[in-house]
Amino acid sequence: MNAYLTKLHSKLSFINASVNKSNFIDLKPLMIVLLGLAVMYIPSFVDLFQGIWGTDQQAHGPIVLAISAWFFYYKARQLADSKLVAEPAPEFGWPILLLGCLLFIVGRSQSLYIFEVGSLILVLLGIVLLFYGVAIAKHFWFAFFFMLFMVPLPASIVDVVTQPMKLAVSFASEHLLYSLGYPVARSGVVVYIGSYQLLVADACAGLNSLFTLEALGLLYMNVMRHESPLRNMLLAALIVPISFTSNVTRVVILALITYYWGDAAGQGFIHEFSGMLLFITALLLIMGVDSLLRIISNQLALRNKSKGSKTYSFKKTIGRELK
Amino acid sequence: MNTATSNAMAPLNFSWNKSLVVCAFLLLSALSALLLTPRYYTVTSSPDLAAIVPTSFKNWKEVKSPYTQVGLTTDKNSLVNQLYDGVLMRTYVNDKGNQVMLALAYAREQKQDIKIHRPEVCYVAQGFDMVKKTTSNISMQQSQITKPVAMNRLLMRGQNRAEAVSYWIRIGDTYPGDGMAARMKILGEGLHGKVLDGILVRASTVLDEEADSTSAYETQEAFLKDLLNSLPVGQQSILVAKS
Repeated sequence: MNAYLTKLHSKLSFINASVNKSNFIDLKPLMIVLLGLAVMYIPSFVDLFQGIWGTDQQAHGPIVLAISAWFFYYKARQLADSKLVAEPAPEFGWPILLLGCLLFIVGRSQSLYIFEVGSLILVLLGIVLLFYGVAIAKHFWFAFFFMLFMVPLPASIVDVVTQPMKLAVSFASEHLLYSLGYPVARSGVVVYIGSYQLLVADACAGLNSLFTLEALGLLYMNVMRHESPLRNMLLAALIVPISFTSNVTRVVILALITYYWGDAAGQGFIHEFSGMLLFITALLLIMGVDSLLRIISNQLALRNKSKGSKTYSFKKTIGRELK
Repeated sequence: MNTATSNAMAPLNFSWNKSLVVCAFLLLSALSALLLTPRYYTVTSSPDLAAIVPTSFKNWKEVKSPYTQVGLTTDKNSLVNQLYDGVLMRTYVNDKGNQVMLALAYAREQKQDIKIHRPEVCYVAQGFDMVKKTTSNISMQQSQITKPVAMNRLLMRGQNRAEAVSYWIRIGDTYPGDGMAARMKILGEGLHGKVLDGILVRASTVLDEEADSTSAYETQEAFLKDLLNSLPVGQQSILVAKS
């Protein structure tokens, strides 16, 4: 009886809260939670910044962290205008929060980054479920998903994936330069052009640029709210070859600079600048592919509209609900 | 209606209580992680490998080698110092003129992501292909050591040369067969508060012909046994696991 009353009480209080917005957005209780989060995770992030986030392969971590924080803020602001009602779901919230805490304890104490950083997603999800419920957690789903890109991969996986990527980039660069008529040869990840020798380093494998581009691409799609899920998925999948192409472009350009202006030019300022070049290439390619996909999906939508298909009307209702 | 008005302050209180409980959980997690962090080092100080390993023993003596040994990391940029507390690389020759390159890499602290790199990974990262790998338990014929060593034998083919490699990796008192086994060992002992040390013991030979690998493995095994036998009992436990 007592339990029933508390349940009713909590239900009532949140109906009340949704009517009276000042209660709903009362942030003071949340501040206490944020304090706990800060005590828990700030040491972790300090360690990450001083450690693996400074390396070439995991350099995307801080970028993803910053964007995640911004995205949470962006989605929280949308929440104020939405008709979503807070219906706490402690039955989901507590188990997820506790699982997150356990992962954190093991990960932090045993320096297992995949658990330590991964736990943040579960802890945040647990807190949102606990205080605001399923509907609002769904509203934030992409922010939680996006944070997966922040979780550092174990060194063993990075090493295993980096090597074939490096070989593939070297292979493609060699063949491209050869077909352009340059005197080029390759052994493993070492590319010889003219009298120069270039070592394709881990950074050129593009694991971190692939992650950053994939993360930014997904974010772009989520913020733009493209209507066609097929188009989103296609674009997400196409970021992989786009990233590869950009990395090959970078290596080829560096090889040509070295060939014409010597080793010093290839290793100096231009080498640093080539990172920027990579992102510009990738951005142009993404925009190009996106426009192409838009044309195709518009054609498809037009055709569907004339048929008045079910999928289209279904999509429309979902779209309205989200707004 | 009456209840509704009396509940006007309720959401606030309810959230406060819940926040405090959640905050307590978070603080407790931070504290538990701190308390569970392994602090008990199994080894008090890093051994000075160069001083311990003699430059000549039995019928072996150190020589200058024309070859550069294959490095102990996957990337030239990553620092050997970051991974290992002590590294020793030498080339020895015996009275028959057989050369063996010795590489020792010792780390007092083995962590999940900062652990000894396996030679098959290092060699491949530096342009070698792995042709063959076998693992066998070999007793080093020591009365003090009953635990046989898990000896790995690799045949690596590079751009310019092929190498026969014999190695073992000791972590704490075990010889994990792969990276995952090493992880589980470190995790299991770590949760009991123990920080394990680890060492890579690697002998390698440059081959004229890949067919020479069998005799190279035999020479390497004899070399490693001679090396071990030349050390005082207390220092043998740096290289191999005590039972």
